[in-house]
Amino acid sequence: MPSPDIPAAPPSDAALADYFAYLRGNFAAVADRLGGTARDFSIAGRPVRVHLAGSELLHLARPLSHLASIRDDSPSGELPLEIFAWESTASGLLPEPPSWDLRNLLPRGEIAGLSSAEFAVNFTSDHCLLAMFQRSTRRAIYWLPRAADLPYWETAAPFRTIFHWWGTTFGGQLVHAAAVGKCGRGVLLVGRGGSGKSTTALLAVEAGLDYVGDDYVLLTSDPQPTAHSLYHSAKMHTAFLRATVPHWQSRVAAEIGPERKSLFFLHESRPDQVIRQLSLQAILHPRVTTHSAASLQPARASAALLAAAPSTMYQLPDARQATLSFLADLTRRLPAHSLLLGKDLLSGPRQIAALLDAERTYRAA
Amino acid sequence: MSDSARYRLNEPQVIGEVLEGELVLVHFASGCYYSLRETGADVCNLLLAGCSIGETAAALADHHALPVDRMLADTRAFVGQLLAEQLLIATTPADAADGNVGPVAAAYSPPKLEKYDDMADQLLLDPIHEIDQSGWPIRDAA
Repeated sequence: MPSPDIPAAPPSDAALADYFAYLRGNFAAVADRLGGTARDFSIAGRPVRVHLAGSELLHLARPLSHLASIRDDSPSGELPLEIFAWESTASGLLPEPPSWDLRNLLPRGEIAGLSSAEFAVNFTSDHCLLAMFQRSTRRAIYWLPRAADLPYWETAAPFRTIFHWWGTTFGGQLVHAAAVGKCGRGVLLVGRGGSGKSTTALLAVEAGLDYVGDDYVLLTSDPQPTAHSLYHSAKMHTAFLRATVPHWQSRVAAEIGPERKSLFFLHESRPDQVIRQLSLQAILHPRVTTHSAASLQPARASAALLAAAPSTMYQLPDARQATLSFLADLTRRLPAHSLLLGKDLLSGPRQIAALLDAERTYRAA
Repeated sequence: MSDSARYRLNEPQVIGEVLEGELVLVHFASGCYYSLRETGADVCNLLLAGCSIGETAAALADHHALPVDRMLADTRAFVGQLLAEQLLIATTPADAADGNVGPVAAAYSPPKLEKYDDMADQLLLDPIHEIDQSGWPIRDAA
């Protein structure tokens, strides 16, 4: 046990490997006692398997259900991401704490001084949620003591930290952004929470556009910038929903968070419009205005970077220079616009559709 | 603050990226982020290339054909801002400044630091649950 006053040095790779193996054993014991389930998905064209022990966290598979796939056991297949997820209330098998000191926590659950090429670790003390990722095996731990403590945003968008770490193994980047489009081509909507990107994305669905995500998407940049879907869970302020799209109320799965947001699982009501990926043509930064109709204005690349980078980096652990450089490269490759939202709510999606049509005409010419 | 002082980026708390001549800086401890354009980007790039305050002011005076005293006063004030925001920290003298870096702004304007703090609350919000001395949850999981 470390001294109560002096945080110990960060753990070595060997200590992390030992604890990772110990937690895998705890998962197996819980699965033996309560039963286990495995769900297979394809994310960004890559295999992902989520192992769940017991039934308390089964609901975490629902936001990913539109990406369900059949497991590929072929030896030539790519090493899958395997997530082992469980909690301890139902089994009573609370794992022992690690031998290393958890008092070195930084904001976002990072552990001060931890620098390992093999393991990534995150422990958010507010929910006691522990995530670990072993890069060489692409295996991940996702554990918390009580499922009831799972924060509402994790229910809507689970495993974000693990997807972020995993993405970096193949040049991907998890981004706090929405992506919508048509005919396989789309736009990335960036901005901090409350900027209008989620609402714009959901109104785009209402207007008939395709949806990849409204809050978090996984980006790849080669051979061209592409947004890949992670979740089909979408959120809209309940009061706004009642005022603008009241016919959506029957699709609300739950009301979540202190802000009273309605949670949807879009693929369950709009399966044809929730798609796996879009080739990105532009970056849009929505801004709420008092104008009657929405309009687009060319923006500086740096404005797009300032809208996309901090809101992504401040939410994710270990998102530093590589993340900023990825997003800077993206803004160099794609035109940026401000999307000035107007009182005519569907004029925003119409502007997006028109932009994509114009881009297509330009390329065809 | 001496005119011969040299500075470096306050890494790893601060990271930056140059985009179309604009320098974007992100501070992870404060949750603030910054934009430096035109002369502001020039001053910061010169400092990060190893120039002292005096050498930076001289480069600006030469590039814009303006009095060096005025450039020195503006550069000192701007460096004071960058230090107050903990974006730069003092470093030991470099062997030589990077000769490939110089001012690029077409016209001189006093260097300006644009600061954004709209996300600071999200970064610093990290409530602590009941944990034991080691940081492990103390609640009974059963």
